[in-house]
Amino acid sequence: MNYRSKSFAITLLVLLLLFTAKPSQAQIESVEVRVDGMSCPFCAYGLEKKLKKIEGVHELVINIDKGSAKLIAKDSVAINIAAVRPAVKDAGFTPREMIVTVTGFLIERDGTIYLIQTDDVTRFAVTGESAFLSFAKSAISSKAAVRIIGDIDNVRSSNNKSLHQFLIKTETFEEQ
Amino acid sequence: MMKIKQYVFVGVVCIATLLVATDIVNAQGPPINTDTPIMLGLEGRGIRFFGKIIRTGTLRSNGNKIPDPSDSRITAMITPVVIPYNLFSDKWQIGIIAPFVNIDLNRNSGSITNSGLGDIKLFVKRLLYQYDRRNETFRIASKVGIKLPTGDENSSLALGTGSTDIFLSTVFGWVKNRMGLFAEGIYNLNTTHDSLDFGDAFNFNLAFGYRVFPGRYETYPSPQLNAYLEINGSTTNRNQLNSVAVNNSGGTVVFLSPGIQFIGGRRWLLETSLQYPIVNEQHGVQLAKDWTVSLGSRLLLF
Repeated sequence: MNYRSKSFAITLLVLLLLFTAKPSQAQIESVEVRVDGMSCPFCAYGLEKKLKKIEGVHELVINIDKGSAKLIAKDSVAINIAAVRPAVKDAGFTPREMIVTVTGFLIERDGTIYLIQTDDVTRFAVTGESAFLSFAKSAISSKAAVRIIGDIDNVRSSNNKSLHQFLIKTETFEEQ
Repeated sequence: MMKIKQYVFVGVVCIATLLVATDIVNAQGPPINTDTPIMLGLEGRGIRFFGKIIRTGTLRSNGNKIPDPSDSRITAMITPVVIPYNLFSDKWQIGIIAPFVNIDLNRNSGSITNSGLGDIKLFVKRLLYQYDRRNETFRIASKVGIKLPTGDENSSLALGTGSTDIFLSTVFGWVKNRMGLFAEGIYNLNTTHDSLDFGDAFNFNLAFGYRVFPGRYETYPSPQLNAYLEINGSTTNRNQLNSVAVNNSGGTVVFLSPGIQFIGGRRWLLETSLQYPIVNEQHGVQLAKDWTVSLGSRLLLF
């Protein structure tokens, strides 16, 4: 199969997945962001206020001892991940790593594994250790829905035309 | 009689100055009598109101107690309302401090009272440095402001100084887990009213805070009790009347201030503090402060 045919097949597969997947099978379930400097619980109200304003957030759990804030998504609505770090900063704290729990389908394109969701706003490239790579291979061939938990990095601006805006370094993965 | 009148007036002015100065440092956030560099975040708005009772009733000559022939006692009650607001970014804050003052003077010859709005203050605060780690922050902020002569200064019991003054301050704050340390210096550039040139003042505050409970703070919000031990001091130059130094004015006062603070919810707290003078080295003959009690609350509005 030449390159064009391969691209066509992948596009067809993506479209097929987009139109057949149920919303509940492909979304950001939660985002946990480490917040440094959160030493004054009375000041955490500002953080709560800012994070609750982010699109798609259903529930927020702030843990002062862990120094983290967990955003739990509304059903079928993606959390606007790009807004999390600026919100933490606006609240007067320092955002560090974010752990995201995402469900969707894996595809491979040009040697990169992507997690495809039903919405086309957030796209994730996924990396991981060898165990994840063999899991991904099997999930791609079986077209199974997967849940992935990992560190997320904003690698490109949202108006960039590349396929992915975020990179997930996978820590935990499972078939749904 | 003239001399007594003079030291009563100077005492009242000193009280008003101290009240306004301490109100500034209470502008926002813990601790109780010292300012904090930790701000509310962009568009954060709060309100703080509290009552402060100051008893001034011991006559001292160069710091030593002396008999008071008039047996003067001044009780000042001040209820400042402090409203800070963060704008532009999380690093900028503007605010207003509006004190409502009631002063009673009791002495052998009778008593007089005056009450009303004191001197309003406006300030701008800027976060200069921030170093954050998990459960730890170190921050430095600076503040500049102006005190406006909005209080009645013509009565024998003045509610304000009548002068328009400038103040500059820098505050350091380090909080880690259950402990916090804060240090603040405020320079008050005081001006003149009716030929009386108020001496400049330097206020300094040190605060140590400790979270009594919960020992381990997990899910926010949880009820919280904080204990504070503060040192709040002020050293003031002598006033000058028609370019001549007023002997019975200025000096140094330092308070030891234990306090407790209860945070009952995500948007409110209650706090109380007692300020007891440990250094009372005022120049000449002046009425000295015996104690100050504060009881107040802070609410986060938005």
